[in-house]
Amino acid sequence: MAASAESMATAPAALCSGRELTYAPAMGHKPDDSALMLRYQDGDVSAFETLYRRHNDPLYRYLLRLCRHKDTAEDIFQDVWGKIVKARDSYRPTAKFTTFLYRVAHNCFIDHVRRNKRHANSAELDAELHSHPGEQPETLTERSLAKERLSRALLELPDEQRDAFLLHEEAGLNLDQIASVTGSNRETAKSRLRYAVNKLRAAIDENPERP
Amino acid sequence: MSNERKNPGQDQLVAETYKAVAHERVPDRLNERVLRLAADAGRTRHALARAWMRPAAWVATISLSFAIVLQLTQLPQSEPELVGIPSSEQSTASGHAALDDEIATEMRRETPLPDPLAEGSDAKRNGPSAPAVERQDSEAMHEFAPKDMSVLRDAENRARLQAGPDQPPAVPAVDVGGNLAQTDDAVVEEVALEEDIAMDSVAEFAAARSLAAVVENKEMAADSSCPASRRDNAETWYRCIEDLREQGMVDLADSEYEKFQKIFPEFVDPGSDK
Repeated sequence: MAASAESMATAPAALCSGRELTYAPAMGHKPDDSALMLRYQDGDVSAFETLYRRHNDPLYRYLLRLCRHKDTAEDIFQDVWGKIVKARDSYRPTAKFTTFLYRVAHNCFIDHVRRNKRHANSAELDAELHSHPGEQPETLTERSLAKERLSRALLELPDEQRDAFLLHEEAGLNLDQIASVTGSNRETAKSRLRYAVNKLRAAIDENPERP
Repeated sequence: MSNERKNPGQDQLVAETYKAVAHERVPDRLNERVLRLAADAGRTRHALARAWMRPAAWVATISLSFAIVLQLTQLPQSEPELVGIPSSEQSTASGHAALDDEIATEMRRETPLPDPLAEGSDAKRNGPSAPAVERQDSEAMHEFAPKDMSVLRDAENRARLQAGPDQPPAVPAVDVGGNLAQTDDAVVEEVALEEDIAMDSVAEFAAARSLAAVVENKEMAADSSCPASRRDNAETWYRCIEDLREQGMVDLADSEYEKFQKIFPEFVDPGSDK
């Protein structure tokens, strides 16, 4: 994000100075995820790093909100990337890499839930997920309150609905891809996503002072 | 239900609000761990491939070269080693076995083994010389004959006792009651008999060879039926061909006539004028 803003800021200067726009094709030529994975398959570790930097934060947030527990999310996060690394030889670019990555993550989460019952009674949500240190409740603005309510509502969503919403928002998957990742059909995925969005919107719109 | 269609901006609001909330980033230690894991896995795989391929190729090349060199150097050297006289160290180490080898080599040098082909050719050239060969063999056998004939006699007695009183002795050629010279002669006769058999086979072989040589000569003669002296002149060559035809070798005469016509195409048979 910061890098792209920086390059955009320097672009006009380059145009004015008449320098050769050597960065222009590089900006347009963004290697595909599958191509990066295939390069890593051939032993190019830097390709994997690029791929990882592209997906690490969204995947982490997805797992963090899906698990509702930071340590568990980190464990699963590492497990997911370990499986991606192991599966590099058998990887075939038949589907979008993001779909492949989040399917692995989804399965890891399901395995973790089945294996570990900690997730079941993890109502002890990490306070840091929806806390605003340094701010007193009375100083919070309406926007901040909306964020707070959305965070709480997101954590209270059923797992399937939260999963669908996070896959849509964090991974940018469409309904078909969400259905593919979660192992359900398109209509189910659509229904889950709609319910999730409606509940979150209701939570944002909730105003106790409003009559 | 239809909120999504009624208020699409609300979805946008949810998305924006969520993006404002979701600002967590992966801890650096986790990033490092994952990237190290990926680097190790990638490096291990390719390092293993590299580590295997080059040394394996080198080892294969060196071992193959060594094997070829060894093969080439060992084959010619193995024969002289067998024939060569062992050194003093070897003889002391190997003891009596080496001494026996040395004696055997000496004896082999003094009395070389007869070459059957050479003998056969000699026999062919000089006529029957079997008695001479027999004489040589008997002389050779005298060298190998046991000096103390009492040992042989004892062995013969033991064989007779084991076979029983009615049975003939185990060594039929030896007369038990005979004197030392008789026993010696019997052994020589036995050996001479074996040598005769061997010489018969050698003579047969020589005869076969001479027969083959005759056939070969005939073939050569057939190939060039007329001698070169008669081929010099057209008339003599033609007479030779006529002779062949008269002798009944028509095919040979025809082939000879073809050769003749190639060299003397304008030759006219004087007999045809008549």
